[in-house]
Amino acid sequence: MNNEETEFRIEVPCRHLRNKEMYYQEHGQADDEFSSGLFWCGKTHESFGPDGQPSGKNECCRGRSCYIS
Amino acid sequence: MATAKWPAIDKRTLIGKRIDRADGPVKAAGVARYSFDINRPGMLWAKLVVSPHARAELVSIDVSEAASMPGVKATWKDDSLLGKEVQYIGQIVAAVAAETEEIAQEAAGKVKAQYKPLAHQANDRDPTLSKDKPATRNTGNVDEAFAKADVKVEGEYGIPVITHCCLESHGQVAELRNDELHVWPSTQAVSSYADVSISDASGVPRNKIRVDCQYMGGGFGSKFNPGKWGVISSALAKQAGRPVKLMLDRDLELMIAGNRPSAFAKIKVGAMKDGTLTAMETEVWGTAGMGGGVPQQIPYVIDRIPNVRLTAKRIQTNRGPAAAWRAPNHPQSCFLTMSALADTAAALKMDELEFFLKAVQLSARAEVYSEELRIAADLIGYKQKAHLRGDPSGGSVKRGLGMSVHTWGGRGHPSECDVTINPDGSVEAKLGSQDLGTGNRTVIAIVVAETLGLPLEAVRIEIGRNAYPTSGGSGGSTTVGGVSTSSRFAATDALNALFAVVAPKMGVQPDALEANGGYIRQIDKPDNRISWRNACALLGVNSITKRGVNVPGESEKQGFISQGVGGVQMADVSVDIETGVATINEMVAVQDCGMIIDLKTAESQVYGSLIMGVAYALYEEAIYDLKTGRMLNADMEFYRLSGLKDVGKLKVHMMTSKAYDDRGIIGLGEPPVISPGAAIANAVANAVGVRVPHLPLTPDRVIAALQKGGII
Repeated sequence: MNNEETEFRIEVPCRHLRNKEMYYQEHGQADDEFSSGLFWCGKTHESFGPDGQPSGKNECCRGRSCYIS
Repeated sequence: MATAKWPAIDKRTLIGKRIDRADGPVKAAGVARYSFDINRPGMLWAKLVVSPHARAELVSIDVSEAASMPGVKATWKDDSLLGKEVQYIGQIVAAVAAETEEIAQEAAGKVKAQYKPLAHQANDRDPTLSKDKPATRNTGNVDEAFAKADVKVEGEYGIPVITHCCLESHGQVAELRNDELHVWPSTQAVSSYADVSISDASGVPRNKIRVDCQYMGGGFGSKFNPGKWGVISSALAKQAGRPVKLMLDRDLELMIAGNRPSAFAKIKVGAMKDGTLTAMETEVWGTAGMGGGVPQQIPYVIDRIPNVRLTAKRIQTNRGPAAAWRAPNHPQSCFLTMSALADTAAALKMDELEFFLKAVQLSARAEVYSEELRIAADLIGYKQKAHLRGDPSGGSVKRGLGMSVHTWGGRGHPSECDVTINPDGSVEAKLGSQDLGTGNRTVIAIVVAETLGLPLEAVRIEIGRNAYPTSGGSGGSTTVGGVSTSSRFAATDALNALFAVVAPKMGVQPDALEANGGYIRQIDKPDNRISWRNACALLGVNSITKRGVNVPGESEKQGFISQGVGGVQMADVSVDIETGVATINEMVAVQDCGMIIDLKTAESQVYGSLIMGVAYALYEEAIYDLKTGRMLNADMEFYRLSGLKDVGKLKVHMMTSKAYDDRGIIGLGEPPVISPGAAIANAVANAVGVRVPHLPLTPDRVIAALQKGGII
C-alpha cells in the first residue's frame, strides 16, 4: 500500500477546523453527551470558513473549496 | 518508597481540608496583574473596525486616511473578505494601532468600508425558519405510550441567548522581540494557545512564541483560541515593530466574543397517576448564530423514560457567534426537561419532591440523586415549606420551592508537570496550566505539599506559561483531575529520588521511608528521621526534577480520576404578583465530585455557579432587534448580572463520604451551573400557580403568565 492510498482512506479533517474539546481531550476521544457541538475555523476565527459556509466536523472535509489537509 | 496512590482519608494533612486560595491575597490587594493590566514599554493601542450590517457584501476597505493620521503606527484589513459576505453585526473587517487609545479610536472611525447590504435573518424563535434537515431520535413506541398514559401534559418553554460576559474581555498584548513573539492573552489554554494563525500573522514559528497568562478574568468556555483579535494584534505588532494591546471593548465583548445558544421547545409528557413517566415528545429549536447546533440532551438526566421522540431544528441567524458556555447544552436541556417534569407533577397534583424521587429512578445514578434530593430537602426545610403548585396563602407575595437535577463528565485532561526539589529544601512545580480564578494554583500546591509532607507555603507553583510542561486547556471541568494527577506523579517520583539519596545515610532501604511533617522518617521507626532541609542538603549542588504525566485513560483505570457527577439544587423564591418581581430567598446545592482536593475551593465553585445561575434565571438575555440584527443591550447597564442583594442565602453541601472519595478526582467547574435556571423557574411556578415559560423570569414575563393563567 502506498502513502497516497493510505491518505485517501483516512478522512483527515481540515487542518483549520477547531473545537474546544481539542484543547483538553486525548487524541481520538469520541464525541459524547458533554461535547459542545460548536466548531470554528482557525483561519477565519469565525463559526464559518473562508467560503462563508459553517464550520463543522461533517462540513470541513476534503472537497470543500477552502479545505487544507 | 512512596506510592502515587492517593493517601487514605485519615492520613491526609491537606487534601480535602478547607484551605484558603493561594492567590487570594494578591487579588484582594490588587497586585495580581491580569492580561488586560499588561503595559509594555512603547506599547500601542489597537481598535477594531466592524461591520454595521447583519449581512452584507463587503465591497471595499480603505485604511489610507486612518493610516495617515498622526500617531497611527499600523493598520490591518481583511482583504480576504472583499467581495464576500459579512454575516453579523460586529464582524471584524479592519483595525488600527496608535500611540494612544483615543487616537486609535478616532482612526478606526476614519476607516472607510463600503458594503452592499443583503437581507438578513435574526429570528431564533420561529422553528419554521430552520433550513436544515431536523435531527431526530426515537425510542420505544411514543404514540402507544401516550394513548395509555393517565395524563398528558404539554408545555412550551424557552431559554434565550446569553453572553459569557467575561469581566476581563477577550484579547492580548503582543510584542516581537529578538525574533520571538511574546503574547499576554486572556486565555483558558496556555499550552495550546499559540495556534498556526498567530504564527502566520507574525511570521514567528510556534517554537518561538512565548505565551504568558498569570491571571485572567473569566472565560467560561469562550477563551481557548487566540480569536481574530489575537491574530490581528500579532500582525499589528509585527508591522509597527512595537508592542500592541488589543482587548475588546465591552460592547464588542458582548456582541462578538461568544454566547450561549438559545433553546425553545414544545414538550409533551406522558405519565401514570402514580407519577411514573412513560413518554416524552420534544420539538426543540434555537440558534448558535451561523454555526453550531441546538441542545438535544432531552429528556435530561431522567433519560430512561421508555418512549421518547425528539426533533431538533437549528436556526441559522445573522448574529454574533456562539461559543461553549459552561456545560455546553446542559443548562438549556436541563431547564426544558425539568420545567416539563415539574409541570407534570403539578398536573398530577403530586408533591414535587415525591415526583422527582420517583423520576430519578429513570436516571443512570438513581441512588446518588435520591440521596442528594433528600439532603437538599432537609437543608431547605422542604417539609415545613412545601405546598402543591400555587401558594395558597393570602397577600400579594407568594412563596414557592423548586428543584432540578443535573450531571456532567469531568474526567481529568492530559497534563505534564515538573516538580523540582532543590538542595536548600525549596520546592517548585511547573506546568503549562492556567488559573481561571478557580483555585488551580491552590490545588496543585496542596497536592505537591501533601505528597512531600511539607506545609503549603513551602511549595512554589509556576503556571501560566507555554514554556512549562504541556497541560490541557481548562474546559470540560477537566483541570483539577489533570493537574492533580500529573503533579502527584511528579512529586512522588521526586520524593523517591530524594529517598534514594537519604536512605543510605539513615541506614535503611528507600522503601522504608516516608515524608511527614517536614521530616523524612523511617515508617516503622519514626524517631529515625531527618529534617527536610537537611535531607535536601545531601543533594549537594544538584536539584532533583521529575516529570509527572497524566494519561487520562490510564489514570482512570488506576483510580486517580473518574468522571460522571450528579447534583441536585433547590430554590426558595418569593414572587410579588402585583409587580412581577421574583426574589431569591435561598438556594441549596448538593453536589458530588468524587475526591475533593480543597473543600473550600470546591464549595466556592458551587457558590459561584449559583450566583451565575441566578443571573441567567432572572436577568440575563442578549436582546436582538430583528429589523437590524443588532444586539440592543451590549453594555453592563442593560445586560444585567446578579448583585449581592439578588442572590439570597446560598447553602452548599458537598458529598464527601468514602464511597465518593474512592472514585478519585472529578471536575466541578461546570455541573453546579446547570440546574439553577430550572430550579428557580420551578420555584416561581410553585409560588404563583402558573408556569412562566421563558427565562429570564423578568417582571413583564411573570405578569404576562399571571394574566394568561387568570391569576391576576
